[in-house]
Amino acid sequence: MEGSLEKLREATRKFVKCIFAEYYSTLAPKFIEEPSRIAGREFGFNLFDRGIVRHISFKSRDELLEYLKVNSPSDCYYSSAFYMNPVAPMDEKGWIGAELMFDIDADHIPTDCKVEHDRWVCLSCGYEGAGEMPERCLKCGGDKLEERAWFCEKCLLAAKTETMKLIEILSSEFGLPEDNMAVYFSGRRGFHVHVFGDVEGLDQNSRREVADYLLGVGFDPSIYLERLSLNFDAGGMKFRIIRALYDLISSASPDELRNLGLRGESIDTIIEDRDRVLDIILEGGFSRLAREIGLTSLRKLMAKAVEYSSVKIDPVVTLDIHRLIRLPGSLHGKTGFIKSKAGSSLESLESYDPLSEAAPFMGSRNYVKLYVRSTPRFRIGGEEYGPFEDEEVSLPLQPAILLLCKGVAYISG
Amino acid sequence: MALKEGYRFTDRDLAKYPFLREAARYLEEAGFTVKDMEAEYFQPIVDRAYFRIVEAMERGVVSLKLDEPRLEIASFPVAVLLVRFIGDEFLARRYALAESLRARELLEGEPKLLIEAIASRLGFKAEIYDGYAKLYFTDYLKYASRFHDPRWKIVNRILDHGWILLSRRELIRLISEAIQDNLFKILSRPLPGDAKPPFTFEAKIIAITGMLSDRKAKYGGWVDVGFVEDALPPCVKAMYTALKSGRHLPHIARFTLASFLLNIGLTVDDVVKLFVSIPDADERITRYQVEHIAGMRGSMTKYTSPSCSTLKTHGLCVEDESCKGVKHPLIRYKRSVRRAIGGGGGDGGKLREA
Repeated sequence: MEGSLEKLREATRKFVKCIFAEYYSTLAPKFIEEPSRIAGREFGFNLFDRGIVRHISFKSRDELLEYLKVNSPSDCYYSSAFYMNPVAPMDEKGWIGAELMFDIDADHIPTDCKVEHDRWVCLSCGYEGAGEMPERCLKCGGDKLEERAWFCEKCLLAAKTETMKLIEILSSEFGLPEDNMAVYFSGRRGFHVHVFGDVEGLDQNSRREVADYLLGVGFDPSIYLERLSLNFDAGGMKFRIIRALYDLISSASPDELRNLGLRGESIDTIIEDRDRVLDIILEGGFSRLAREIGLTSLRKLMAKAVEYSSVKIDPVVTLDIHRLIRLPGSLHGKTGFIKSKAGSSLESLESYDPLSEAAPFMGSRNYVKLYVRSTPRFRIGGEEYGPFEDEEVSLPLQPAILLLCKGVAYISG
Repeated sequence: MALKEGYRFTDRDLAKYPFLREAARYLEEAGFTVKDMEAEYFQPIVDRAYFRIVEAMERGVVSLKLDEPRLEIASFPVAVLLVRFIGDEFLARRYALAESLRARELLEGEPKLLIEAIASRLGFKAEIYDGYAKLYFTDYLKYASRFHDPRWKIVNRILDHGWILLSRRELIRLISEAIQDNLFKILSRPLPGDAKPPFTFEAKIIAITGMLSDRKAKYGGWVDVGFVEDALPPCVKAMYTALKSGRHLPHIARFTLASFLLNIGLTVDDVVKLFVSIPDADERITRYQVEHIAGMRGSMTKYTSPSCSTLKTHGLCVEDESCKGVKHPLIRYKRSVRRAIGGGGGDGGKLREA
């Protein structure tokens, strides 16, 4: 039994590799976007047979495409940094600069649908659980767990909304032109935003400051209020705070306010005089607001407002000035989708549908026979598939590749 | 912009800010060459240069002598040369800091145009208005991200279309940081191997070197103080107890704990032992990882454990009162160890580097 499972796995891997190879020898040139200053970048790949290789460099796009054709990796990465000598060991590369990177992943955004579609498996005892993966198996306590995270439209939409928030802040608060940003669907559960230009020289401490700003880490309401009292006609975070405060106050129940640490008197004012308090907020009258509900309460509400209006980026990615990031136009080894450009403006991002546009095999008329263990219902392009549970099915190439890459199906027949 | 570029520095300005390129040009025009340094009439300049350095070491700031602008201007490059001949990093840092503090104090009293001119010289995109100033965020971050007061964090600043609002004083503070950085870079540039100091420098070099070794004997470094559980900072303590009780630690916490313990002088064996005491741990992999952190593998760099701000970003900071003013868990540990072993006057013998 063990042996035949191993055979199935092997056949599946071979099939996926074959499809990836076809992609890299036919379609890839249409989708691959090589980074600027390509000769200064480090490349790394996950190869089907050999695992991870890195410290590789290419002089040109053609050289890169040729490598992809010959090796057809399961995943392709390049360094956000550009170096004097990209093939040298890490501390001898000679760092020159790096794009500023943001990763927004559904994993980091709480959505209530995860319980429905996320699973994890304990590799020691085989126990399967639902929802977010715990640190240890709930049954045997082992810590070798494997995530079987699914993605759904809700999760992707949440990530997209978060990405739009990020772009808005980068352009209105940091003043970065949209021309200097590129937004991509990561190929799995989120989005990547690459920023070029002035920001490339920022060191790690500076990037930490940018990440903290976006996440609201270290926000001190007293300091911020003091600055606002100088009465500059400045937008930025102030508007975000006002908007979040407005949302917070207009719907908060006494219990919610109590949980934020507000005291009886302030809660009464807010509940009884809600409309007047909301008017004061809209005018941006923070000092008047402080008089109405008390300075302590205002500080607490502001801290909450900043938390609300923060952007759920993964700080690890933004801080790392040597990060390897997925190559735009390459396939994601866990989904068979491509990391694809998700528009260059807020409008085009809004209408972007990753499940149609990142699917390079949609045109294929081939059907693949699979044995599917378990999957919820899902959509690719205009078609819906599943749910499947321990059954043999015949699917078009794109959904078949997705299930095979995710490891929830085997090739059969 | 045109105004800033066109700002004409007076001799008095150059005496105050002798690092400006106009100061070097002024000296060229006056016809000074390296040969002059050995001439007798040059002695007052070498004396003043020496004095600049002595002041930097003893008081931490260089005084201002405006009665003879030429002496003041010329003594600066000579002092730079002296520091480079001595080639000591501590001295270079100390001198760069002292000159930048001198410039900072002077800038406080300057008109807007002069401050803007110097800011733009340093590559800053800055504008000064009545009562406040604006600085482009990348310029701001380059220097402000090293400060630890929450007031400097951009999350507590007004940031609008790329501009950070700050007070004129704060702008000057950042300008002086830039001056310090630039000067330190120049001071640490090694001289050509065959460069010989003019004989007028010799006595000064001996005197300064002597002062340096006195200072170093007084403030020895500290490493390898050993393991004192009660002195662990709260963040590391939390990770340590979690690990000992067999709870799962995220990667960054394991890295923090391992590098911290290695930094305070535990051996790779000690650390591996601690980590494999938990169930399921693979000794071979653990040893490999710990050796990597200790700098015995891979890039061969020994990692320093993460700073307080890094831990904060990752949500691992567990602050208590005694963390006040501390930027790094290792510093907090050093303090507590001192207290625990009763080092008294600060430098307990045990803490001294061997």
